[in-house]
Amino acid sequence: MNATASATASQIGIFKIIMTFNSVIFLIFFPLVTFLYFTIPHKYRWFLLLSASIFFYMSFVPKYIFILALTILIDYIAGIYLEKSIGQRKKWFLILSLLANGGILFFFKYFGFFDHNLDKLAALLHWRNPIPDLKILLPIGLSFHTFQSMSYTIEVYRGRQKAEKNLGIFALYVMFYPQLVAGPIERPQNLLHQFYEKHEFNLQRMGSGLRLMIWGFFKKIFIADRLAVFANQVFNNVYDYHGISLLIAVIFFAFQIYCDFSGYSDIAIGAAEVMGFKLMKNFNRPYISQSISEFWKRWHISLSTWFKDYVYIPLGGSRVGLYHLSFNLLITFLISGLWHGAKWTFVFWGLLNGIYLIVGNFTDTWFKKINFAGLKKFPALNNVWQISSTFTLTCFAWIFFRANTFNDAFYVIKNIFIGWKNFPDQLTNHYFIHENIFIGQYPGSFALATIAIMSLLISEHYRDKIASNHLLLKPWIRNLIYIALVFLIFCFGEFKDQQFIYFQF
Amino acid sequence: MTKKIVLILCFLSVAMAVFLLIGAKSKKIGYKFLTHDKGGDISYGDLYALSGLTDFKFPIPIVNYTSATTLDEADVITLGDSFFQAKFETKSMPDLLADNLKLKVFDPHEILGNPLVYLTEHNYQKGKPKIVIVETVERYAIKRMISYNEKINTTKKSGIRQKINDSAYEIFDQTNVNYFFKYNIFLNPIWLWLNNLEFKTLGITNHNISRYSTNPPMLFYSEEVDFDTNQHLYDHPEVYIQNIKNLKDTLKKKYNLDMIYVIIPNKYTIYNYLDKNGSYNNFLPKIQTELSKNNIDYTDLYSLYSQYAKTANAKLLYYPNETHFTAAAKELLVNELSKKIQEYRITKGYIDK
Repeated sequence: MNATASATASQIGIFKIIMTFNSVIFLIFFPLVTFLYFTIPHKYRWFLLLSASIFFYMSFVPKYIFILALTILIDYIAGIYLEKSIGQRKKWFLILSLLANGGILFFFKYFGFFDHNLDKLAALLHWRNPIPDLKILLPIGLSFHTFQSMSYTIEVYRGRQKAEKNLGIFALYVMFYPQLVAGPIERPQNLLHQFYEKHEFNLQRMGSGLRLMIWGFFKKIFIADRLAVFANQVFNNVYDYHGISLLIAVIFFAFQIYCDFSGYSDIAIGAAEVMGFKLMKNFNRPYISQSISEFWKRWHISLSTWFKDYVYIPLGGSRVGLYHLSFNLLITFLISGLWHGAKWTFVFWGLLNGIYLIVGNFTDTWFKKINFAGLKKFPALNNVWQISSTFTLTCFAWIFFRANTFNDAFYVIKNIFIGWKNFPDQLTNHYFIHENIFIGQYPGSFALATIAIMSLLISEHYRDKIASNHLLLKPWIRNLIYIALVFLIFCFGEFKDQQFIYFQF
Repeated sequence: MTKKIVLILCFLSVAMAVFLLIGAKSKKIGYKFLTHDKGGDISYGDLYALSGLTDFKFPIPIVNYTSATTLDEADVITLGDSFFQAKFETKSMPDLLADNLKLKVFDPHEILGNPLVYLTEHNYQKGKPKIVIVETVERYAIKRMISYNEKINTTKKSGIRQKINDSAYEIFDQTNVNYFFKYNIFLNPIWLWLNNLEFKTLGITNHNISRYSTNPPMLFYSEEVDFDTNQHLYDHPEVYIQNIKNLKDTLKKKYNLDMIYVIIPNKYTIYNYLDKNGSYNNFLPKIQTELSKNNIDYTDLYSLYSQYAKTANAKLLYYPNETHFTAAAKELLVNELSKKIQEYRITKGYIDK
């Protein structure tokens, strides 16, 4: 046990409070930047956004701007040479660019993981690992902007995107602040040209963007951060809990990660929309999916399409035999798991999702033929069955995503079914309810958490009906709803400087 | 009409953003717009400041006195944290100790982590033997024990590098922004109203206060209640005791200072029985066992305070709306330390028996 664990963060100058969407400084930053954006002449706007994005990035660890600058410079030059070159030379430029990006990603994100596993292997083989423990702090948003930058060079290589000659615009493409730290991972064909377009101030578009931001903040601060209190308490102390507590923690985490991440995406998309930029949709009600395959078309769409276009399809995609396809899926999801974090539990989570899809492919024909429990006669019931079974499989995989170690994950799986026999009797025991259902929190907090989940489910399920409802289309009613959301955010939101989960990626 | 309202709202949000930015970054201007405690003779407590809950707004008088003893002339040196700086109702702990012992007691009036850093930076020279009281509050004990073993960096950054670091900190640090946002005269009333509404309707406090009692009123700081999240550290205190032992040996060898270690219990440690679901993980008894095993002198405040708190007509040892201790707690500590210091002065040969 190392008793000299030093504060790495303080050694390299990280601040106590960083700028995230749910920080106070963002409430100052966003209106000022937006105001200046529409005030200054169009030809200087890219410079304003770039400066704002640099400031946004530097509020985490200022000196890391040099790493980002390096990746931008490498890919800017690579893009220009890729466009000019042909044949083998062209391939080499792409490889160099991908290696540079991959190398930076490996060093900052995976070096510690690699070194730690080398330590274990060395201990097994009774030799000393010569590589020192460097205690590297992961630059914010590294996985996201690296992938966005890589998609640029790949698209230029494929001839689907012209190389960007303006270094400033290219830098802005890589580090555009709304989507810099947690996506959506944009494609150059969608985003680059927008920096050249003049965006006029548009009240309707501003209103739409702000409403999306409010909904994103609601999901993050009111829902995700409140659920996090419960999920973190259990997952950080798993051995103190069993049965109902573990079940609550798993379900709460499923909604926490969804609201956290989709909330961030909504804020990012909304903030960009206010200024006239269109970013891609990143989530499409994933928990109403009726299969794992559908889930991955609705969850983190920008990342799953990135992996599909740049890993799965180059490996052969689905244009190959079933076994080869299965192999492609496995590789793609293993890499996806690893992308999410430098831990074996993330890799296993990816593997599990890959296995789900493979099993789904192998059993698809069989399932289509059988009428499970006669449910096909009742489409609504059948939908409920498919949605709930998909949700269950997803939650099972989330256990590995959230658990601190494999032992913790296996403990959760083993003990989630324990203690149910006496559950009805225990419901009269105040201490049991406080410790195991409210997870040591106040009843009001638990009530808010469940109301939060219900409100999310209702609004997402009836989203289309709400959107087309004549009454709710009346501006004053819609505005009242959003004012109520703002009130709920500030009154009952959890402001604990809870970072966005996907920040760590 | 809607367009006008939206434009007004946009203008207001930009104006508010400019106001917050200037107020946070310019202390001269910002100070004029703050509602929070600006010093003076009364405090309403740090936990009230963090929570804004009016049910726990009690005034605490502050004594404005600072001793002028220097490091070199002191007989006793105290190096601690805010508990040793607190001047609620009575003078600070070191000044009370000085009055009780009728000795010169020096305290740097700074919150210290590793005492060796202070002594190195101030170029303290080894001289006649003195007693040094090293104090930490329980919730930061582990963090500080780790820091005792860290390398002390005495090389100062070059002028330009330091200037760049300071400028970067000035620009990017947001502590002042958060503070000004909460405590400015325009938004503070709203923040207070929202906090109290949440408390009165759902009994929920904000994240800084994870437990509370209404009868008697008592707020408990989250860091005290949740400080055992890394259970492994607290299950194996012996790993960190070596650092304290090294500190003790270094203080004696390098500076001729005899150390007495003081860990002040968290308020929750003593008063967790007020929380109907409260419990304590016995961190202090575990640490104290290890301190005894390693012949490190300490004051057993955990037993002293716990026993006193349960006596009939006992005075409160901690304020309901403060993380820090009361005059009654300071008095107990002063008496205990005085006994120990007198013992030391005789047994270690500072004075004749």
